[in-house]
Amino acid sequence: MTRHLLRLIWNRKRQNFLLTVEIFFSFLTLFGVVLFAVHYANNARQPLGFEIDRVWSITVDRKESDQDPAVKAQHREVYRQLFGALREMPEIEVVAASFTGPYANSNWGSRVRQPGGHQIDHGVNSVTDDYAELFHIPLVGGRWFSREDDGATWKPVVLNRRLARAIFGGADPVGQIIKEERDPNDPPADPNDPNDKPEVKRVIGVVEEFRQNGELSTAENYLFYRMPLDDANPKAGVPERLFVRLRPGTPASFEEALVKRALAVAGAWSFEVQPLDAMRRDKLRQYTIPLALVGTIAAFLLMMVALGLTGVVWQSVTLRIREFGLRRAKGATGANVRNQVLVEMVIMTSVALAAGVLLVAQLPLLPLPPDLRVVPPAVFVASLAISAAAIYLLTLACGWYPSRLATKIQPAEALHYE
Amino acid sequence: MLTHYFTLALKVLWRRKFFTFISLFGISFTLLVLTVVTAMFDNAFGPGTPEPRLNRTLFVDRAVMYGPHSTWTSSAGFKLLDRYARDLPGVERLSIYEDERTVQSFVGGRKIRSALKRTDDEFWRILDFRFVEGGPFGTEDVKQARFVAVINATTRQRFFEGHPAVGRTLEADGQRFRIVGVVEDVSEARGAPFADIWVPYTTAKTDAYKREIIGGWHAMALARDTALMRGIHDEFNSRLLRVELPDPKGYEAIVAPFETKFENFARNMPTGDRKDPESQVVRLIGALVTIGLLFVLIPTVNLVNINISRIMERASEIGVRKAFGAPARTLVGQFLVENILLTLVGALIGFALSVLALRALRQSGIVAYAEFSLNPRVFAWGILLAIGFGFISGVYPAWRMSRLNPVDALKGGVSR
Amino acid sequence: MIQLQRIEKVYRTDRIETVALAEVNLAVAEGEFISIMGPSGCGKSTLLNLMGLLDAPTKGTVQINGSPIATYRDREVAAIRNKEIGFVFQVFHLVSDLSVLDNVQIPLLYRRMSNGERRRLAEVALDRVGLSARIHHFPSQLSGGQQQRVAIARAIVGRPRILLADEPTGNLDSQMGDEIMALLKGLNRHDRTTIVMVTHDQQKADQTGRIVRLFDGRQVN
Repeated sequence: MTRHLLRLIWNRKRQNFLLTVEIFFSFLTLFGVVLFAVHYANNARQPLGFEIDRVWSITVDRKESDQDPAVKAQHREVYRQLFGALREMPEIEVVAASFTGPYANSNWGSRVRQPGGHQIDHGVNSVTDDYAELFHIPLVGGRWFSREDDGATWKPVVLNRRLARAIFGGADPVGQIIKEERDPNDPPADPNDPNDKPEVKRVIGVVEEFRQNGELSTAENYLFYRMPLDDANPKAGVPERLFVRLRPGTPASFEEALVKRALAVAGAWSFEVQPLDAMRRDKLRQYTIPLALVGTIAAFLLMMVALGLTGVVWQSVTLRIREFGLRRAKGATGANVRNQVLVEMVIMTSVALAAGVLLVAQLPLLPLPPDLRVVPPAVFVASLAISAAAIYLLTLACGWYPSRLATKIQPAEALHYE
Repeated sequence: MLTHYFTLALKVLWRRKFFTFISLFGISFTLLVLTVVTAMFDNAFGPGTPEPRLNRTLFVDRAVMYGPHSTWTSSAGFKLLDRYARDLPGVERLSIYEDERTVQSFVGGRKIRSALKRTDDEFWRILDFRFVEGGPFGTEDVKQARFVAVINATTRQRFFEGHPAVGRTLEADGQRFRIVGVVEDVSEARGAPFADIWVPYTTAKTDAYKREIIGGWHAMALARDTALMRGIHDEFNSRLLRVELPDPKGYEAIVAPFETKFENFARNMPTGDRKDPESQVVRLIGALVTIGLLFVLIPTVNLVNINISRIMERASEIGVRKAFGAPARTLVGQFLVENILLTLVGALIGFALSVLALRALRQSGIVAYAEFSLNPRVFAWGILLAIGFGFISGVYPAWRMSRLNPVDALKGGVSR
Repeated sequence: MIQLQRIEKVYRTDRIETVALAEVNLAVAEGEFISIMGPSGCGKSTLLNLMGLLDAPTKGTVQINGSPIATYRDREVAAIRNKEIGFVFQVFHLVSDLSVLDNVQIPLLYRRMSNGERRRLAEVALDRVGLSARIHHFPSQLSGGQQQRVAIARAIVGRPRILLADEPTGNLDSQMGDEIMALLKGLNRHDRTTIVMVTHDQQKADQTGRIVRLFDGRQVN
């Protein structure tokens, strides 16, 4: 029976080819959307690594690039004054500063080049000592930055667990030095410059996780540097933003006083205050709006395909009334005829899916947006399974009504058509 | 003859309502998406208020300074533009203006966020803003660093509840400005002209910007003639070869080409080579056409399948026409006319839907003050797209139909 | 008028070859009324299709008006079908979405002329078959005999010199069949239209000038 059906489908290959092509592209479209959705859903279940209750971000525009060490020193001094002024305000619990921060639209990336040349990419941030307290970042080993690190001959770093595992494997990372090799592309060190020598990074602590871009972002390796505002090194960085945590019950109108106070200290700078939950909303939208847009378009495309398939199968059943009538006349039951229509559908779908899966399996080799390049295999496989099941369901649903029509064909009608 | 095809097409479409519905659904939805995208593009790149002379306007929106190990991508610096972009041959007017910045104001305990742009006086001469009240600030205002501002209608609404604002003052980013003019809102998608508040660039809080060659600033040049644009682009590029870079060890060159808005957009493509001063437009158009084709792929295959079904149903008619001497080419023409008619009907429905979709998009506020609209240009593009779509989705089925053996066709169209 | 020489027609599918016609020689003179008879599947319709240039023979030549059809290029064959030949089918094959008038105009659509001229010629042809009163009806509103008369009007509207009829009375009751036969005979007598008719019906065949019999794809004389 199956062989017979296969032969029939083969003989109708020209009609079925375009339908298969249509199912194939529908599968690819659906898979694209499902992959994003499943990936985001999976990300949302992972720990975030920080809390943003009552935290406001203050983006600082210093109006001047700080290439010049003298300008840098002066800016650092202004920051110290700002810290002092803000800490005096009774509404403020904690103040911290950093280069970038949660839900910010700037990301800073770097890499560890291990001896032997293996490179590990990671996100970075430079932060002041109060950063962990302000964001309630849970530590899973060692300690956070503190005054203890003043004058250290190494550069203290805090890693997230993922990066620690990538660098040190199963060993306890706390207290270890990250072994690095100089990039052969870099110019050789300048022996006259005391600051131009490889920095020794020592791990002083490990945090559970820190996903700067929020709930829907892919978990990545992350590393914190310490950025004290009284650093003696003239090349050390200067913060780009401040964070404050407010006392419970502080009204939103406090913002005006906050900005006035900051401008009183640094009138030449500009400050933009945003509650972190508003930034979070914006950031999540950067993920959900494209997905919603693409999802809506894909939904309409699939609806279009479903209607089209129903129409085409319906038409082909009407054209084949004679064939079905003959089958009925030769003793096929209604269910037999219905199954024939559905089996044809299933076979076409299977061919389309086989081609689709084969193509999709090449995806990891393609240049994908960085956020998707690290899709865990489980998410990938789950998305494949969900899309495949959905496409089967869709095509079977499209075949259902026309196949019911086919069962109603009486042998007599076949003769009538003769 | 055409009327014959027309009436027949309408009758066939009316009789098979389900098929017609499926076809129209697919066509109108596809054209809805294409029209909305075209309207968004037009909103950003098409000429319109306040950029009626966009076809001979060039911008420097992006500077890339690069060396062996690092690349610094930003907008250009004031010093770079002030020193090298002035007096370019062929330029009628040149304006230098800052990135718009978000600034905050507090009115009666309420916070207002506005986009503030610091510009020169030429800005108002290159662009044709529609003034609701007052006028722009002038050369003296800029020279004397007067704290004057032009605001848009929305800002007037926010600060003054829509009452006349010229002569009144507002505070933004800790500075107080006297309002000299109010303009109609300008879409954020337009880039260069967009802001809520415009003030003379000389009112900046420090003059540190005068020393920077990268970061924060843009130039907009109005060429005397479109033919001179290439020369302006080349001359500025060659001038940039002489720029003294701040850190010669780290950086060896700076690239900041004068380009049209569309060329600038092309430069922002993730795959574009930012160090190449030449235009990336061909690549961008290639990418857009590829995406467009991928998008219409499913609707096209779907329509082709439906069309084949429709044709097989009419096999007997085709047989008769062939028997009475219809050449294959005429039959292909007949079916194409039918299909294009159908897509045009779908296009009209699509247009109606896209008016609704564009209104929803405008109200969503994703793009501030967007004026997405179906102007005649977008409409013409839509009709063109519809005809193209109808043609492409009709050609293969029509070809299959014309190849049908008349004897088989008369028997009921079993083609193998 | 029509000459068939050593015609052979073979249908090939993947596995089977079916010989539909073999060694058929037939000459139809101008003004003749011929009927082709034979049992089902003997190749009658195939022969008619070959004469109507709807199909090409596997071997042998077909001549229309003395000129052999050498290449079956679509454009040329279509032009001959359009000018020289009219068809009448057993199941009428009217386009159900077109009115009677529009159906009759179909052959004229593929000729260069004004719409008014097409309409006028169609009205003349319909008058000829006695259906002037029903030009705005649709095929579904007509009886079988009336439908076949529309089909005849369509076949003669372009004044072809050859009329090919495939069992024109096969789907009609005897009274209607007689009406159609009378029409065909009139056309043959008054307009000197050459007619080739396939039929099962001995009585109808007897009314024609000559009978060609086929059996199993071969001529029987």
